Formats: sequence, structure tokens, C-alpha cells
Amino acid sequence: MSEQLERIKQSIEKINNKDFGLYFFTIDTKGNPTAGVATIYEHVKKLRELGYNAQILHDKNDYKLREDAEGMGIAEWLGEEYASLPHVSIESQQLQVGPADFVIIPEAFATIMKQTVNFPCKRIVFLQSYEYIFEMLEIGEGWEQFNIRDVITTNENLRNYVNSMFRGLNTDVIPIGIPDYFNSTDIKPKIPTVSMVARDKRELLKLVKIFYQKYPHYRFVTFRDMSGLPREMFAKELQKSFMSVWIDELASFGTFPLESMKCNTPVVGKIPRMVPEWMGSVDEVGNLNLNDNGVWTSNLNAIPDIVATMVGLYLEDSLPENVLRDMEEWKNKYNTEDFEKTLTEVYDNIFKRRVVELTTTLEQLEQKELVENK
Amino acid sequence: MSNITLIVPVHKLEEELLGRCIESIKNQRVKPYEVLFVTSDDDSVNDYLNNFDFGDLKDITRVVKNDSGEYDFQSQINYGVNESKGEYFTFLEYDDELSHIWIKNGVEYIKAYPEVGVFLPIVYETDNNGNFISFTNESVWSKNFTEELGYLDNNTLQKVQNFNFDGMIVNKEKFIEGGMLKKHMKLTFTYEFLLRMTYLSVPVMVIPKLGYKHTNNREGSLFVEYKKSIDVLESKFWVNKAKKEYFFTNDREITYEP
Repeated sequence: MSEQLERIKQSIEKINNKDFGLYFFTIDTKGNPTAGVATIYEHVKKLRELGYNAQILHDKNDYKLREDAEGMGIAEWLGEEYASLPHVSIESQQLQVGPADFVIIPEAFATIMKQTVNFPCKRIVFLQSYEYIFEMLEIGEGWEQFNIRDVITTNENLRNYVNSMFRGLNTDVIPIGIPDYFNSTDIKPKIPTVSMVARDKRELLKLVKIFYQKYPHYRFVTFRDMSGLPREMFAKELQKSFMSVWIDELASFGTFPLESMKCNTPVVGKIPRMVPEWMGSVDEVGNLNLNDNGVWTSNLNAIPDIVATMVGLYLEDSLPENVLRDMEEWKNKYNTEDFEKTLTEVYDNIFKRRVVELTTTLEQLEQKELVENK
Repeated sequence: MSNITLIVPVHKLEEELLGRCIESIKNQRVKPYEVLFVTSDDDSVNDYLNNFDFGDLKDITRVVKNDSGEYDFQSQINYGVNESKGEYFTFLEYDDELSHIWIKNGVEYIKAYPEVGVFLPIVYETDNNGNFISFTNESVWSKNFTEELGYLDNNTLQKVQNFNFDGMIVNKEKFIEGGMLKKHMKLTFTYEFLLRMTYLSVPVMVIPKLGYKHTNNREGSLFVEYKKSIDVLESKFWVNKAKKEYFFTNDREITYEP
């Protein structure tokens, strides 16, 4: 018993001394850039700057950090500073965790939540997409059954959603921060190119085909699928474009439109099933109140026509004033300063809560020991 | 205020057309540095313009009579350029209209691309009733159409000729150094000029904005009258001549012999 007590005491001390591990489980995207993985890396990077031992945890040893014959790795699409962060694989069997450590698991990996249920460390879910919550859960299963009590998410909508699904969660929100390199300082005027991002690439191809078919006199307009570009090149290309298109029915937040706003590039977007907080709100009777910070439509088929209208307006320097004005208001709302400030506060609270948990356990064990010794 | 002189060559008095043309100058979001109406020996044009109420444009407008004895389009433009005081110039045919954003965009693009010597607009081509027919010059913004997106180059011009320099904004110094417009090039003076500029490594860019409204094949226009007077063989002759003459900055006497 006293050995266990000693271990908990040491763990509390370790947390207070920042002498513990934070392991962020991450899927290997094999070089395909995704906003979700980028956000995880941002957390690890910032926590390390704050003096914590945060690391990327991945499944296999052959995690793609650097470019090979098949394409980019983390170093190429996210940057060397991210690739050089500490990485540890489960396969290497080098990971050892104690009560002071934390494992952060993305919402899609319910199997990992199950497999780690008896781990002595604290486990936290990192929720970025509502779509994958139930992907690997059996009917009737919930996170509470795997002793998951803490969740970090990126926005209020997701917090409300997950809290309505599972009981007794501590859900903290750390909003994303759009990096400053998206902020356009280039004086070069924008060019007749449309940047596009879609979950389903077939939608992009369809849009382009319809557009050229219906509006042959606008064939000089170039459409660019932005997927697969390294982050900073992505920002540069987006800055050049006079407009962007975003189609993601299942988006939980939608980073791309915010990046586009930060680049002063107006977005035409399909309203997703879960309306992002920056796009607008749904009132008590179900009415959708949209912001003017982009051109939002619920009709996917209308997008080629909206793009054509925008091209015409661009050619005459008449892009909608209300959209440009509202974009200006929103472009800096998700900034790196707020991200860093909130991240610092949230993790600090998580660590304090863990200390309280361990202290409570310690007190209970001490009382039990006293009773047994009497 | 801009540093762009607007030259309007007027060889014939057609009040309605001229009125629309002047209205399009008045509507500019950014005013040109000056407006030069270059007139010929037709006194009715001079009298009309000298008595015209230019309103807000009054202080920046001059009517200059070309006394060189050469009244073809190219000579009128060259005369205007020699009379101009702006660092750049553009021109507007009296039977066409400028888009209200053209001078504004000229100012913005000159600032962003000071190395560019010639800025072409996207031209909005209409029929005699003002109905849209097509755009011109826009194709340089199509991916892989030219060597560099947005710029016109000599290789592309060798293959494609139908570019329109109406309304182009030109660096005056580069224009004069490059030999100005050639009056002897007849119908292909536009083509020869663009070939020459690209050959001389003067960057030619198309501003991706509607800058100029051009009435295509307007009955009674100089262009249409001249086009009617030549056959296919002569037309080919002038295209081939343009492809040879652009190496020279001097305007040489050329005669067509069938």
C-alpha cells in the first residue's frame, strides 16, 4: 500500500514540476495535409514551448515524417519545426505511462479508448469532428464506459453536441488559431483563380465541368484544388485567388473559410449539417441566421452560378461590400494569440484537476491504510 | 489623381458616340492625369470640342490639333503621346467606352507591377446594338495558354493574333524607346506593336478586369472601311509583314503588290 501511496505522491510532484508526458495520438496521414492533424501538432508545439514534455504518439514505426518517393511527409507539408518534435510509436513498445502522464486520443479512436482503459495515466479525448464519434463505438457504448471524463474540443458547437451525447464530461474549448502567414500583406492584386477545398473531390470536378459548360466565356478562370499543398504554399496560393469555394457537408468547424477570410479571399460555401459558429446561428425556433462573412448556400447545385456571378463582379471590381466588410470583422477572430492564451489556461486547469484527483485518491488510500493498520 | 494621360483621337464628328465616350471618362472612379483630344484638320470637330462642357474634367482636358498632316489612327496616337505629360498613357477611340474602373485599376497595377510596360484590359466586345459578343485578351489568364499566367509573350503571339490593344496603358518612355506605333503597318499595326514590345522584353500584362467596351465591326468605322478595301491575300501579306517588321523600331515604307 505504501508503495502505491508513494507513487501517487511522486506523480503529484511530477505534475507540479512539469515532469510528465503528454502523448497526443495521431493518425498517419501518409503526407496528406489535414487541418485536424495540423491542430494536434500545434498543441504539441505550443505545450513544448511552455515547458511541457508533449510528444506525438503514433501507431507504427514507419510514420511518415519526411518526403519519400511517394510524396510529402510532415516536414514538407507542415514544416521542419513540426517534424522535429518528439515522436514515439506504440509499435516500438517504448511508451511507459504513469499516473502523472496524459494520453490524448482523437475522437475517432474508440478502440484505443477501450484498450487503454486500465492505463494508470489520464486519458483525454481530442474532439475535432462530430462525424467520427460513433465510428468505432458499438450500439449503446459511450465514452463514460471507458472512463473518459475529459474532452478538449475546438468550438462551442462541438462542446454542446458532445455534452448532449455523453454524461458527466469536462469539456474544454481551445479554439484554433489561424497562423499569421495567412494574413495577406502582398500588395499584388488578386488573380482570376478560384481556390477550392472539398471533402468529396468529385464535387469539385462536377462544379468545374458545370461552370465551364454553362459559362464558356469565363473559361479563362482557373480552378485550383488546394488539397495536398504544404501549409505555407497553401496560404500563398489562397492569397492570390480572388475567391474560394468550400464544400464540406460533414464539417464540424471549417478552418478553410476562416483561412480564406484571413487572406481577404471571399468564400462561397455550402452550409454544412452542423452550422459553424462563425457562419451563423440557429435560433430557438430553428431559423438559420447567417453572417455575411461569405456567400453561404444550402443548394449545392447553385454554386456554379454563384461562382459565375462572383466572376462577373470581380471583373467589374464590384464584389459585395457587405461580404468584404464582414470578412474583415471575422478575419482575426481566430488568431494565434487567443489560441495560445486559451491553450495555456485550459491545460493548466486540466493539470490542476488531475492534481486534485490524485490528491483525493491519495487521501482515500491514506484513510484506508489507517483503518487497516488499526 | 493618376499619372495616366488619356488620349482620345477624334477624326470625325459623331456627336452621340462622342457623348457616350466622354461620359465614360467622366464616370471614372479615379480621374486620369489629363485628357487629350487629338483632332485632325476637320474644323467641325475642333469647334465642337472647344465649346463642349467637360464639367469636372474641364481643368484636366486639352484639345490639341494634330498639325502634322498625318491623320491615320497611329499618327494621332503618336501625336498625343508627344503632347502628353503623364508618365503613362492610355487611349480611347471616340466610338468606344472605358469601363468606370479602368484608370483606377491602371493606377493599382502600375503600383503593383512597376516593371510592366504595357497593360492591356479585358475588352468587352459588343455588336452595334451594345449586345455582348465576347471578351478579348482574357485568354492569357487561362492556365498554360501563355508562358506566364497573365502575361503576353512573343511565342504566344506568333501562334495567336487576335489581341486587342484598345485602352492599353503604356509606359510613355518605353513606348517612345520602342518606336511608337507604325503608321505603315496598316491593319496589323496592333499585332506588330505587341510583337515588337515582347521582342524588346517589355512585359505585357493583361489586367484581369473589364477595362474597355469596344463596338465590334461598327459600320462606318475606320477599321471596317479599311477592312472592306482589302482581300484575303493582302490581309495575309500584312500579317506576314508584321512578323518581320517587329524586329525594327523604325517605321518603314511598305507597299503591297498583289
